[in-house]
Amino acid sequence: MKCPACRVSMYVVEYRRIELDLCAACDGVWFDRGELDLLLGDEPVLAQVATADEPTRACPLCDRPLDKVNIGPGGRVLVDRCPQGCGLWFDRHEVAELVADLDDAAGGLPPAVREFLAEVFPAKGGK
Amino acid sequence: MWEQIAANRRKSFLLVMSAALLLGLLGWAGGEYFLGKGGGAGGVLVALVVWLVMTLAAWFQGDGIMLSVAGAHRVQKDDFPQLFNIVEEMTLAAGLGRMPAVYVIDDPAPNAFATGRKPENAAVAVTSGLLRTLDRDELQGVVAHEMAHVRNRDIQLMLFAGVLAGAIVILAETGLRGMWMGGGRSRSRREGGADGNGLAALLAIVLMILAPILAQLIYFAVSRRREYLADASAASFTRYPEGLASALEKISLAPQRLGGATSATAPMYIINPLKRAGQAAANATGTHPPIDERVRILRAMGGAGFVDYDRSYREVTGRGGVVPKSALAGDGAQAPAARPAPDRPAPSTRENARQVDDFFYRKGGYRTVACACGTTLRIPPDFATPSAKCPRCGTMHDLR
Repeated sequence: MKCPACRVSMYVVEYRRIELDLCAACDGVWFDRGELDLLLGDEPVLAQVATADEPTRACPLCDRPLDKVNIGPGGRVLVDRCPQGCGLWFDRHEVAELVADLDDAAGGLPPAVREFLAEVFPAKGGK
Repeated sequence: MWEQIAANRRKSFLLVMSAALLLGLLGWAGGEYFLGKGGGAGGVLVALVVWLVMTLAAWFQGDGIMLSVAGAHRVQKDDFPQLFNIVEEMTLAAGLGRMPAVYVIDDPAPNAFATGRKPENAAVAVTSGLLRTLDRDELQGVVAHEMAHVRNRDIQLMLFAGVLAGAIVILAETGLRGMWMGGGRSRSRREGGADGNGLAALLAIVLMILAPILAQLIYFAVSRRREYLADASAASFTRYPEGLASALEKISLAPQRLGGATSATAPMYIINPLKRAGQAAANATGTHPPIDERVRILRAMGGAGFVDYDRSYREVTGRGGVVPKSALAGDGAQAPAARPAPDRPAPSTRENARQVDDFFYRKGGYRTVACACGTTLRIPPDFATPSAKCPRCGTMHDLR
């Protein structure tokens, strides 16, 4: 799968039998729908579609433009979500913001997703 | 059951005849138009040659082409033990002499199809998305549905029907393009034109526009009925209609669209791969009956026999029965499936998903790097960087 931001081949990181696609060039993370389902069952990822001046990216699977959605503490973190439901894309700083303070309300992102991201991407200087 | 197969043969024959008639008519009209008065016979000959070449190609290569267009990989028992088990079970249940070859397609959209000239050399293909999404009962329902297509000789019929429709479409399009570019009749028009040809020209234009639509309608009419019969057979093979019902529901709700499907291969899948969620028009004209209707029929069966399916079909659709009489007489009502689904150990879907993925990572030439912190990195063959970082512990893994 190609990185939606840099268009280079991503590598896969598997942890606790769940996979994430990572871009070595930009450190962005693709969380595939199939993997989200494995983690969550049928629980949906609820988020508000937002507009932003961040560049629009195309879904690495279906090529549709990804929606910008607000999630995370206070809905402040802006991530990309495929309108077809193929998956979620996190830029490098977005993952860091999401896992920085787990006690904060998750705002649309199921806790299991955030906890999983925090396990794979331990906050710098953290545990 | 034998009458059902015989009925399919008769229907195959009728279908081939009506489509062949259409093809011949198209050839005749085209010949009259392009070759001048009396050229109809030549046109019919051209049409027959095109059809013959395509049929021979389909007969000898059809399933191979189909499988390679879909990007299917042949798999062995060690790769997917559960899938193989189910195919073995359903081979017995369907009374097939030989187990079909099993293929897996790397596509996140859950779907399945069967192909092959004869039950003896059939192939069943499922997508990786299907294996990841369905539990064992559901997968069994889908495989049973595909085995029913094999046993009822639907796959052979659809292959021929598809080729005929394809030949008609190709001839009509070529003809229309030829007319557009002013071929054929321009010369005779300068010469004053032959009166008989005016009619032929009109007929040729009408036929070239209508024939492809008619060919597709014939194709659809047949393929839709096949789907109901295959559902009825699947319920009878598994004696558990809920498995297929639940699988159809999951497949139809999946957001992904199948990548390798084209309009030519669409009717071979268990669920129309080209239909997008919420697209109601596809229900009326598609190659497949509406999914919610198929699910409702399966759920209202009560039992698991053909009689149960036929009764449920009448009740749900309000139309006449769909199962041939002999199948109803021979099979009778089957006792409701006594399968306490919740008692079975829940399949570990994560393990399932990893098993499916591992196969395609191997096929795709990925490198596996196990990190000491407990993560596993999979490196694609076209990875641009000489090293990869484990995000968890920060270790840089050298890939050179």
